[in-house]
Amino acid sequence: MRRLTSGGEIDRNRPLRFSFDGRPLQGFAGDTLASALLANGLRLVGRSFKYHRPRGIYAAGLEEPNALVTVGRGEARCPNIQATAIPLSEGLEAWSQNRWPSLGLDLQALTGLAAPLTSAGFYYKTFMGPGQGTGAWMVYERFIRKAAGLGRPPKGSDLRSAESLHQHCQLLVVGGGLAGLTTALEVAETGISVILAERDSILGGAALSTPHDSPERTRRHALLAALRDLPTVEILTGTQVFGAYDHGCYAAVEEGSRPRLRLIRAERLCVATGALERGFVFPGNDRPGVMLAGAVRTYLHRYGLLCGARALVFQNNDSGLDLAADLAEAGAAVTLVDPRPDLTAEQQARLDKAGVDSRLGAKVTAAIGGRRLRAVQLEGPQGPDRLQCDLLCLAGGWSPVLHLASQAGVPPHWSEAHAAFLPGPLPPDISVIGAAAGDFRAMPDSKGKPETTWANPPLPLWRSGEGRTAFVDLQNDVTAKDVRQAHDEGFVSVEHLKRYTTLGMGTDQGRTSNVIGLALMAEARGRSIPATGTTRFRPPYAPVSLGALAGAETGSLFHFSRRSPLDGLLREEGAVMTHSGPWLRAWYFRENGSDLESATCREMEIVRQDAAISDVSTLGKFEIEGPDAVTLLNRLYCNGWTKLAVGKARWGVMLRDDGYVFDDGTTWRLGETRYLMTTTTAKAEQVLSRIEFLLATAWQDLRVQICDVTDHWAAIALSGPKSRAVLARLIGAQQAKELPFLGLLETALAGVPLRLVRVSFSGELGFEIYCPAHGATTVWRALREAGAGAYGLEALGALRIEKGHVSVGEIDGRTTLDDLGLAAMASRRKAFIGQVMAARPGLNAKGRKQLVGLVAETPLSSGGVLSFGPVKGTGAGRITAATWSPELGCYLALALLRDGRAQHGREVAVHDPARGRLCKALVRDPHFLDPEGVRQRG
Amino acid sequence: MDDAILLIDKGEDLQAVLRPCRHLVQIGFWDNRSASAERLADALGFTLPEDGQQVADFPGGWVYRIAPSRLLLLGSEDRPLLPECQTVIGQGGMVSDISHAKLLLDLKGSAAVPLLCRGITLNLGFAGLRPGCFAQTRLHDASILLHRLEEAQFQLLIPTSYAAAVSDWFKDAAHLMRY
Repeated sequence: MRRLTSGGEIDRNRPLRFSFDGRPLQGFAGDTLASALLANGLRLVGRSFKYHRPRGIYAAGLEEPNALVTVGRGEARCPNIQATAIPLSEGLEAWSQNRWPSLGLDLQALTGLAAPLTSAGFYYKTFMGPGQGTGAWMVYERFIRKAAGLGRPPKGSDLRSAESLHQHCQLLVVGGGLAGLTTALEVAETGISVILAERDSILGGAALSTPHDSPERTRRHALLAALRDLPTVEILTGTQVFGAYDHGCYAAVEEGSRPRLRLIRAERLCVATGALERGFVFPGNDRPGVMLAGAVRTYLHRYGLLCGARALVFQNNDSGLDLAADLAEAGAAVTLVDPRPDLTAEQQARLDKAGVDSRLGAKVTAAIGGRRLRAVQLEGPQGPDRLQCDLLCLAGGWSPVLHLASQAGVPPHWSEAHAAFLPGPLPPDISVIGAAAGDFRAMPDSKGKPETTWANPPLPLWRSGEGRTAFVDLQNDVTAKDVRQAHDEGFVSVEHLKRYTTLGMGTDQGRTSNVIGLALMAEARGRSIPATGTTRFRPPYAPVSLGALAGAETGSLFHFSRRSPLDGLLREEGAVMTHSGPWLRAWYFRENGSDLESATCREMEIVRQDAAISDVSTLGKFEIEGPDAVTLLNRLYCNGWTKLAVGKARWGVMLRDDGYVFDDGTTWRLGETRYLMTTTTAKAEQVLSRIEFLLATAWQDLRVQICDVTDHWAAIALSGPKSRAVLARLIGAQQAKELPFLGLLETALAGVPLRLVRVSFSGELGFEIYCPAHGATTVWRALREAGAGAYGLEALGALRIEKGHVSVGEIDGRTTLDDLGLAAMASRRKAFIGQVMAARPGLNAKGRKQLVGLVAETPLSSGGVLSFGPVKGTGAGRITAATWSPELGCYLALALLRDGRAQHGREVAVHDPARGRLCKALVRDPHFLDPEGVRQRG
Repeated sequence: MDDAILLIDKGEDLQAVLRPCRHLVQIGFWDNRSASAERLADALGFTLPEDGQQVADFPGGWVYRIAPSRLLLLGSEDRPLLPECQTVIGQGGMVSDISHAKLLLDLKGSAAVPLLCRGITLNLGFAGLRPGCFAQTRLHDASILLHRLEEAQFQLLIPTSYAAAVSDWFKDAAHLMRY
């Protein structure tokens, strides 16, 4: 191996220092890590996955199965990256992986001695199934996992600064080879917006693997010059389009120190992703020094690197001829081996001119060597022969890269003439061109593939030698014997073959092995390749780091939190905030360093003894107006609204279509045809969405409109026996006194309009005070100055448990009106959503879980399982909400218990395995406090 | 909030200001093209938008047709709309004041489009949302109305409860763009 003094796309004036396994090395700008390693004479770069066999660089692109390395160190490291896909940069640190103690001396290679015993299915047969049992596997697994795997992933966060963006175009061209460039130019010149994405850092594709004065290079230069000044085309290099998704959305990523994820929405897709070369299956075909022919030509012409002094090119088609001639012209001693009996006169003349020795009618039956290739075994017309060499170039045919087209729904179909899968029928918005479409001409155009005409037709040849080390999939150490064994054991489906042997898994996704594995299975089954089957491809085409997928928007920048207009003021008052659905809410108010428990008890006590306010701006609030507004309410709620007077509010319950309880809340009649509906915080968006849907579809005849005013109105709950006195200081004693239960009052405070309704969630005398959001802090401060304390979400929840009010825990989509003790709410004089389905026998059967209260002397927790004896299945019920009651001096819970109302007075066992608790509780009515409602009616 | 907040100030490259909506009214009609809507258009001096993309304007305000039978009217500082709309519409539709439900984010500068493309899926290129048009879209969880005033000038209506999160997002995205 040696670097040539000229040629290639590298910049010899810009040397770059890097290291491999800590060894300082040098390459040039324009190198990949792979080319730089080769240029430094490193043949051995990795160890194989299963048998720890020495492996070298096999390819020059994403099809590389062997050279997987870890880049970086510490928490910034990134494992399992193909050295062929890493642009060399100054200071790059790369490490070999899956070896111990070192790459050169890997003691784990001893596992190779047991290779005859560890063929496909070894783990399944040896460690699982009858006789071994789960317990045994749990023991083995630890050791197997330690030995298996490749690189070690970092455990911390991805420290790189990632970003993502959305783009749109009329045509997305994937692939920057000559076919892609030609198409992009032709289309962009018509004024159509084009994005061209190329994985490589430079454009040109296969043209970059040709000599600097080749016609392909000349055309590349012309295309690039023409594209450079076109405003309608955007060229993205170093960008891998890895997935095709619905509605013309394609995902592309730029990895590196600053990953960038692009979501590109394109009206049309042009797949110009080229083709990948295949090798042959024979013993020792994994030795360092065995490489794909196209890759060797790429290293020669793109990186100025001669990969061997004595090379042998083994081909079954014409694509190795150029390489053989080029290698010879670069100074290597070259032998061409071809199983076909003849070459054309023109081809033979070219080889003769370059000084290439050709062995026709012959094939390579084995590669010989250890950590590097030393010789090959041939089988030819003159019998067996052995040739010394340090480079074996395999040209076993081409597989078009159809992954993206396949993801977009284009089925692959087998072409005997190409010995490859080609794209099947294309939808109108997708085109496949160039080598991806089977057009293997050196100068493809945008018109699609021509009729196939071969000067010298390829000879289908997949396997040229037999033996234990004849590998099909180099990345997963899958041999031809494994494929045969899978067949013999009945795993004949391609999907089963993949999963049983791991063929085609891993970072290379079987790019060089899938077709060969399929061909060998077809051979074993005595069927054709298309009859044997193929797999569809799924995204991603290439590995994508999780950091790139996440982008910059993590945490609160991704999952936005809604904030009440009182948010800032509540924090000033010491509120500890918590997430409640999409909202951030005041959980409790920290006073003198109080914790959650002590603060909640203090706040509950203020509500029960005095007066306190809580921010309930998060409730859903919708204005409804129209001549048919009351009809709408009657249909939505199970209870009636016809008789609700102007200036009054009513509590209502909605059912889902299937008859289960959906949501509850109060709705106020503001005028003859105008209402304000309130919903729970949790269901606000669902309720609005449901009403909008019904009005736009089933109920278009209703003359009614709805407007979401949730963010317009702030809401403050004022609760406690002294709340009327507090309110009186704001609006006057007369108004405060005259407001009846569920009565509505519209007034103002310091210029801020107020809407008040007398309603209680805590069970105490209470009011809800609504005001426009920008006036919320004024009203809150006025209430505080008038003597109200403050309470948070935890106290709010505990107070409602004491009162026995249902909330999210009980309205969980599995409870009926009767389960919650609300059957009397359902009107019999009108139709409403869920009415018919609520009458289903299953929703009215005996034995349903019903709402009960529990009292205990030890803590209770939501989720606790109830039973009257040993727990069977899910038990007799579950706790939906629990709290300590300072008012009653015991632990309380609301629960859903089988035939609950008939169990009042019984003792039930409460199992809480998650917290390791088991206790007893008394079943009783859920209204622990003031069941007659005397307090809330003031 | 009562006053405008300067979120980003990078001169002609990028500027973002968050400010209250002084006058924002949603109007819903019982029918798609009701006589009430026509009366309102005549009274305020605009032509009813035909679709949900074109923005209609009138002295001191804009009209967005946010649904077939729904309009959103945004008035400037000195153009209170509620009383006028209530008078004209009467019982012919629903007039709701939602001035406190939204905040306005003014965004302008050469980096405005690249910034928006980081979070909004709309096509802001030459074949997409043009000046004088609007779109209702989302920025993560927040529903927003994006009005393109000029090639590099936008006006966003943001739910008040999401304003803090959206502001943080814009500042972070601008920071990632080296602003």
